[in-house]
Amino acid sequence: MRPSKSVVVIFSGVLLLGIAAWLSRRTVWSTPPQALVVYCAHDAEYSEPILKEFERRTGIPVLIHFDTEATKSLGLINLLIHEKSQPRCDVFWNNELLGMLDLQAHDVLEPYVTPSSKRIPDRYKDPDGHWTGFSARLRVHIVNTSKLKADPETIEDLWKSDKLDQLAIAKPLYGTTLVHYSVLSQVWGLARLQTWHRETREHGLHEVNGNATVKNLVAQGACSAGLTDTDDYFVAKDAGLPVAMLPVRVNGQQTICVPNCVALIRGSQRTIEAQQLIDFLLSEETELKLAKSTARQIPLGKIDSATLPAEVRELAVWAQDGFDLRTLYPARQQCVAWLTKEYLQYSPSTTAPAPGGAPSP
Amino acid sequence: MTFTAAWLCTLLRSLILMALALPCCGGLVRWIRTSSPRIRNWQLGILILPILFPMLLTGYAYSQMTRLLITDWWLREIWFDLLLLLRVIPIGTLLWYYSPPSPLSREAWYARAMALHPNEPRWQRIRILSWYWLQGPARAGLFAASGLFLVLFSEFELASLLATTSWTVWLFDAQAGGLPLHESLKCCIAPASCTWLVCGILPWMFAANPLRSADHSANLKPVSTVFSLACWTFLALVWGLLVVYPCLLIGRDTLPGAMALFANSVQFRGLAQGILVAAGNALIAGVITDLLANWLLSRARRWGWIRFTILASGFGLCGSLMISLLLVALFQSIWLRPLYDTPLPLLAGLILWLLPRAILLQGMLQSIRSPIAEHAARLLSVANDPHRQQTARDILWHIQGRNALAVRLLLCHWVYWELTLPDILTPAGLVTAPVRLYIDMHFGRNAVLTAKAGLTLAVPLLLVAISWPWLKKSAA
Repeated sequence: MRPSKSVVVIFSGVLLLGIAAWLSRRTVWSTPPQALVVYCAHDAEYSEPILKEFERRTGIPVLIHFDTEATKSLGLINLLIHEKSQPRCDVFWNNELLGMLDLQAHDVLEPYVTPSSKRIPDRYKDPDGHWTGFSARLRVHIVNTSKLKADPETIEDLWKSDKLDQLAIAKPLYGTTLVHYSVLSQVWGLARLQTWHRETREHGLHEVNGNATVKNLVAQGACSAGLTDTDDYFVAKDAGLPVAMLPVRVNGQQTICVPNCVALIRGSQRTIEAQQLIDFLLSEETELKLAKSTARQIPLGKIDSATLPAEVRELAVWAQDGFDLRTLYPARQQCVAWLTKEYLQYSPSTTAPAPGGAPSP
Repeated sequence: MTFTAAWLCTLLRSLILMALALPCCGGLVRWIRTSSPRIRNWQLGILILPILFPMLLTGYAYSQMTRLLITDWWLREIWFDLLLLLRVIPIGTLLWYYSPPSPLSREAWYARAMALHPNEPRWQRIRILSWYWLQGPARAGLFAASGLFLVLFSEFELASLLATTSWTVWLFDAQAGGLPLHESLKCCIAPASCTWLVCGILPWMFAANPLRSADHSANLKPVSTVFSLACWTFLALVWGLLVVYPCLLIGRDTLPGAMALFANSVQFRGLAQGILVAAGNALIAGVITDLLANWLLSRARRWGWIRFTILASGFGLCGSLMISLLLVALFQSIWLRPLYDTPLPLLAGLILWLLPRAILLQGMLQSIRSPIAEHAARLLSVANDPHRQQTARDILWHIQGRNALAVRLLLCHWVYWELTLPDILTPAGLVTAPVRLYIDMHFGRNAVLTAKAGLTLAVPLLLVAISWPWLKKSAA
């Protein structure tokens, strides 16, 4: 191909990028000064319509950078820490809480105490306003009802048996399984957790790559039960598969309720617009939308229960017993250090601040 | 498992699979070369298409075979090896088929063997004949073996989705566990040296003057019917396991998925935008890399092959994850910070990642070119007679244009489907379509996923089909 033709092709590429940038209300080379950059770890199917609705109502362009499982290595948390000196992100919408504690410890978050957060219970928000939780999901046992009776006693017996090859769990190095392990570490102590971890594997517990795979294993009957999250469970249920769920209760009492969290990024140049978006996300309207989505996220703030789907009302009752995750940062750091050594046989040099730098409850 | 154990395990697996794949590739090449030109085109087409089918979709389909994931590790390993073998054999076959002709013919090697003094010590005899064998008849096989090793050793997506041991998966998990960048780079030294060593062989292949008149199919006896049947069966197996089964598995709920997608304007608009971004990146990075590879190859002799190899492939061999991390660190520095939220980091990453492949392909192209025939066709193309001009264009298309266009389209295809680099380096608001697909895969929403995958696959094909007359004219 002659060089002049190559230039035409390259120019066509630039043109396509230009059209895409115009569609997302930015230019190819820069972000417009009034546009908000949102890093979003929540599933695009649910988060994108909400953010676009905010854009439609306020006229403030929202540029979204999604997180995927493909880049856990440099997921949004790591990216935000990398960009700390010169951030491009204004608002971070995370799908769990421990990552926010990590960011807070790294001094990436700017406090913003908003009136909208008054409706959110204290245990789901930072007292100084570094982050605020909203719409949550629960850790649950997913049970294949054609293989097993879905009641707490049966599940407990299954876990107590010597043969655990009918149970599945995700690798605890990251995600909500890491949150689960951190809770267990806090409640049981690390030594007991390590013993439990070792024994369950020796007894045949299947460990797979993610919660979605756990859901698939159980829903397709390869395993009788497993540990996953409510949003994954509902994917199987909506597909008409024979599944039921039971909440995970730590020491038979507290559930593990993992909220979405939103925070303002320190150094943002569009603070007013960012605060507007945070208020919008913490509103009753957004929580209701997420509750009515196929993920059935549980509203954490006060909301008229009559407006909620029946399934979410049941989940909301379980969520009231939720474990206070705000104190988990030291336990998480301990778990990460142990699990990294356990799975990868290497001891990470400390990159995060010492537990002393963690936020207080 | 330690990193050293993981990469040694990957090395061992790659060497074993390479040894298994190589005879199959040789057999397939022989089968293709002894076929009639019309059938040969079909055979090549059938071999190429499974390679172009996105590994993302194949890997996803097999990760849905849940019983496989909880079976014994060795059964999983065997299944993984089988899939990998089916994927790399067509690649090795094509590399072998299109390998640069060797500077020594089989006859020359035989003549050299005859010329050896009868009293020559045995070890000396073996040494001389092995060297000539490598320079001559074994050269194409060695070329294919290098390519096979590179693909096998750097495999990530399938290894990750089927939870098998690999240095690439280890590094990925370690990053998630908080491994700092400098430690990741330290880990990369050993495997990158391995690939770099193998890559050193490739420029050597292009360095020697090949026999321009070499006819690969000369003196080849036609293969038996049974052998031919076995080859067709093998191709059917490749198609069945790598393309048809994944399509059936993912495509079960196409209709409701498409309806859901068209009904959701936000999702549809997001996907359309993602396709535009991926296509834009593909055109820019694909063409620039192609031009760069040509330029670098034209200077290879002047620079020396070792320096050339380091320059051309040094970064690209670290893999897309390492390139992304390095570029994030680089573009966060004070001097480059203003360019961070532009497409430049991503385009730089894509070009670095693609360059070794582009050089390999361009090197192959250059080695099979016939400058005399091209010159003659160009002379014909300036004739006054329009009929002759058209004939010249046709000849140029057949001897040069179609290969050059195929290389460029392949480079664009790779960029279009790349996942890691766009996900980390893309500017805010410019998500590519494959990244969106990956998000759906995580949640296992097969219905919408199928519709999205269908559109993501179809749009570039449609673009190529529409612009085909122009592309063909430009390439000729």
